Amino acid sequence: MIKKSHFRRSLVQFRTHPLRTALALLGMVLGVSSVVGMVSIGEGAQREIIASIEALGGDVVHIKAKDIPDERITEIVNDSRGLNRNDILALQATVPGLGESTYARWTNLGVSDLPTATYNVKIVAAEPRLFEIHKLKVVQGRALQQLDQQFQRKVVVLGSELAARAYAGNALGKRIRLGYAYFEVVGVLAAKKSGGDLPLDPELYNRSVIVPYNTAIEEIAVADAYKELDVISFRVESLGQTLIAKRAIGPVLKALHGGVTDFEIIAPEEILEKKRSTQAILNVVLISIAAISLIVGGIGVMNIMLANIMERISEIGLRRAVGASRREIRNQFLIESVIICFVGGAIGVVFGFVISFLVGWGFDLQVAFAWEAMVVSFGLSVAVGVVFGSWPAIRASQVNPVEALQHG
Amino acid sequence: MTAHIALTGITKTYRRGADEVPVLNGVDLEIQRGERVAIMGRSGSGKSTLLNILGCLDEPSSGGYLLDGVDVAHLPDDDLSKVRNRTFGFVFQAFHLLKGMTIVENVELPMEYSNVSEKDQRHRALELLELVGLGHRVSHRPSELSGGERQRVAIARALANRPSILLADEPTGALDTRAQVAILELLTQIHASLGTTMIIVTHDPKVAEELGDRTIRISDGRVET
Repeated sequence: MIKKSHFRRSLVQFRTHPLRTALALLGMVLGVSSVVGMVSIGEGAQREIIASIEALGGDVVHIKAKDIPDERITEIVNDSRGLNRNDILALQATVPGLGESTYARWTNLGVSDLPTATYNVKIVAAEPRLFEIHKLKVVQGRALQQLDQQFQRKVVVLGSELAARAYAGNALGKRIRLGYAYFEVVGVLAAKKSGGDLPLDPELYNRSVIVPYNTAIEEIAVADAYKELDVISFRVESLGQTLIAKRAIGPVLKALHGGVTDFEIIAPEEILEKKRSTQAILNVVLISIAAISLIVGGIGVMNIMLANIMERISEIGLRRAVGASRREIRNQFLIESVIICFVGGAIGVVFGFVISFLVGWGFDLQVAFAWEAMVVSFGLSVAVGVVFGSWPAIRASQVNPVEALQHG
Repeated sequence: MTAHIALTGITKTYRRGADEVPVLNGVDLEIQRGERVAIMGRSGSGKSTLLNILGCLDEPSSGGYLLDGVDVAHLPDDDLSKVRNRTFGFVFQAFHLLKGMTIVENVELPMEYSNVSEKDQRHRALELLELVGLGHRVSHRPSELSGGERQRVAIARALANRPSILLADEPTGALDTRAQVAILELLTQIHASLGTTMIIVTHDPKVAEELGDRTIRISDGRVET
């Protein structure tokens, strides 16, 4: 039976041995905070993966042209025309489930009068639905429209980084020269977060100039004669359909390209699965480390409880003499270690959140504060208290009172 | 009328490595309610062991122990603890006060293991400290008291659950002469007012004479006759 007096006794003990109690607490604080930290970081990584997949549209299959080395081009140029607009019609006619499509061509920016040094800037010649399908958000002005495409208007939308660097945020309405023609800036994109190692990194849009496809054909010289397009994207019903679509597109497109695989198909579902499985392995490692530190914390508590019992052996003898049963002695020590673990756990949860927040901030990682992690760590710390407190408590209860009373 | 305490043929043997060391070799003893008994004997004679068996702190190796006619020689731990808690009060030579607690908390200790509400515990403890003449120092720590005062606290603690038997093992052994006299007076006064049965282990004939209605001598694990 657990009574209020048990808690009072523990408090007396903690009051008389503050250093010892603090050390035992510290072990638990570190153990629990590492569990919380690891879980939040792991959970954050999981969410980051999903976010990076969704940055390019989770329900979209992308076909990306492979970079073919020049010497190989002469070899395959008679078989394949590279990625082109006819592929879209052919695929839509043969592969079921493909919805809306868009396409784009990427060229390195050549001659321009941008008022800043241009480094790694791409001209994206885009079919206007690209904005919607690749989830490009416009923060100033407007996106490109079908009419721009139809009338080959000389308008551009700038990527966020380029707009900020070249025009300090006042890009709208500016005229820029690309090649031999002038274009009017009609919109600026919101910043895109990097997709990490995604084969199609959404970050490229941050340093890009987006031009209507038809305008680009007319006004900007084509640098690469081999392929017409760099990317084709199809919307499908859901994320779960992307892998099915990828498998269906592959052979059809290869046949269209005369047996040459000069393209790469990106199915978000597949990337997600791959990332998830690597992340799962990482999570196991993280959680093992956390579990080990929790066990070390528990051993610390056990150690200190044993030292406690040795020092308080005459107290145990006295309590037995005035009527404490073995069970009551055991409960007293068990409650002490559970309290240490509980308090240590509570501090550890807070500490763990703070640490994972700092880590997330310092290393620019996403961290997720899962309440499950909190409940689990709390439960674990109490369990550690019971498990590692049991043996010392049982030893205390088995002390022979007559012998115990002979110690000072 | 049955005796308050009746021991028949009590033996106790300790195991020390491979050897068996006999400490008590068949003790027969009857003690009546309200009686004051002094147990004397040389050190190693087994008098403390006898006291521990009387107080249900130690189990006899063989023999019978009737406490108010109830056999308590081999009870399970829970029941023995209850008997110690309700029936006995212990006073030790080394006081055994818990240094992390105030003296009033020390006196409350036995009541923590019986069903006494916290309010009643405090009330009773203050009353007892008043009785032993320490009513003015209730929130001091044991380390702030003299030896004689510490033993008074220990006596107050021993009386907390209104035990019918007070067991004292060399209660004045660690005290100077003046404190000794005071403690003996206190115990005499307690016996007079509460009628508590007292069993006192001592090697000091003066203590035995002062406190004992009857003196029992132990040698070689037996009661001398």
